[in-house]
Amino acid sequence: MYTIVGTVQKSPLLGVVMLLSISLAFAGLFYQMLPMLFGEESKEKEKNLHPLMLLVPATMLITLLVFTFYLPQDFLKRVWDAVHEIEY
Amino acid sequence: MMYMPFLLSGLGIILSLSFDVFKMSYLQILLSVGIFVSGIYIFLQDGYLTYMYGIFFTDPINCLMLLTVSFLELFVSLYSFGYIRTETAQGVPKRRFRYYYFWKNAFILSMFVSMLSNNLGVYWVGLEATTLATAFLIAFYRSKESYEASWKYVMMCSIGITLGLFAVVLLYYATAKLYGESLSSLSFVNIISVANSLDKKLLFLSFILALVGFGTKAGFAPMHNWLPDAHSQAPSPISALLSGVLLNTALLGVIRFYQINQKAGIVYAGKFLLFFGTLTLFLASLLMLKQSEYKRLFAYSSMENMGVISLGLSMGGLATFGALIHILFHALSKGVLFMAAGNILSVLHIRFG
Repeated sequence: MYTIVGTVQKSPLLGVVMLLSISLAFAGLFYQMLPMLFGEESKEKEKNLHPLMLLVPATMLITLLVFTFYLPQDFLKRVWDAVHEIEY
Repeated sequence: MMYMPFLLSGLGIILSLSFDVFKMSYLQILLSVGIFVSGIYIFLQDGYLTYMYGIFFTDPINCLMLLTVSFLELFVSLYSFGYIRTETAQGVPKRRFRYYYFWKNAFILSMFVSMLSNNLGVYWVGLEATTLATAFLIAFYRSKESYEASWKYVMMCSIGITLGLFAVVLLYYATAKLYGESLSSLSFVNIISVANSLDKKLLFLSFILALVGFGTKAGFAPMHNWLPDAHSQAPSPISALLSGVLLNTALLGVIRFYQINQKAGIVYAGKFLLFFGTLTLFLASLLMLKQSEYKRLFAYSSMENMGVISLGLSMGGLATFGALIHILFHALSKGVLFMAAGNILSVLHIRFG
């Protein structure tokens, strides 16, 4: 989101290209993945996965959600330091 | 504490040769927790820190990358614990996993060497070592497709990295006039401090070579052909690492040369990064529409995200801030996606949607 807003601020045309491309990518993801979720194959599921194989992606997803709404100030400060290193 | 990432991943290489793969998976989790804790510690240290005779250093950029690697590596180790047990229960011979942790730890160690190096020559050696370690992991299932993917990966990335070497040599030629023919001429901290007084044509040429060379490994279009094959054929935990952190490690090389050009006031460097970023983003989005194999789809999505990050880096300000945060978020989200893809593949044994 920051990248998109930052790009739109600097160059609206590039921002539009960026938004279009990202929208296209999401369209591609959903277009290809939806038949997979609701297709015939999903009925053949077997429960033979190790519990950690389900637990780890679920934990990562929760971590991602937490980070989406809250990032520690120390982390953001370090990221801004990195921005200044790149920009001089 | 600064040496811990190297020591623990190096210890992982040694232990993987001594222990059975099931016992090693317990030890690997302990090692990964140690790497994660040291990653957080190093990330929270302020300013530049050079160590090991100035060969390695930490700055806010590589600290962010280190945190991302250590974070994802912990999750991948936990996932691998279950993955190995599920795969062996489904008939994959246990002996095939014998060198799994060996190559995985070699891959992690070479990434640490690469991203924490102050010396651009050492960075290049580390990046080349990641190619060697991951080539064996991509060919892990020993099928015709995985051998082909591994071969393509080695060939394409070796050509790219050779161009990266030319970039490093050119930069050395430019700085050797000031620092003499010594290791100091390849030190990033030294180069950045005198970037203004270096030959601008040489700096720009070295940036272009680094952009094309290291960009090949970062998945920039049009040198991206190896990426979908490699990511789709590797075991899913390795695909998560390839996508989440290896591409960033290669991108760090481009960022270092970009920083030097920015300091020297070369404005065209940003325009070239912008061009490659936009091209990668746009091309990957188009290619995603016709991918029906889900792991290939995610691989193209990684390429698209590299485009977003490059575009953000070239724009500056808030966009650069977003691009850097995106590095961590992309690593985590692509980790989730590749692990979920691994679960689907383990249960249904189909690669197409």
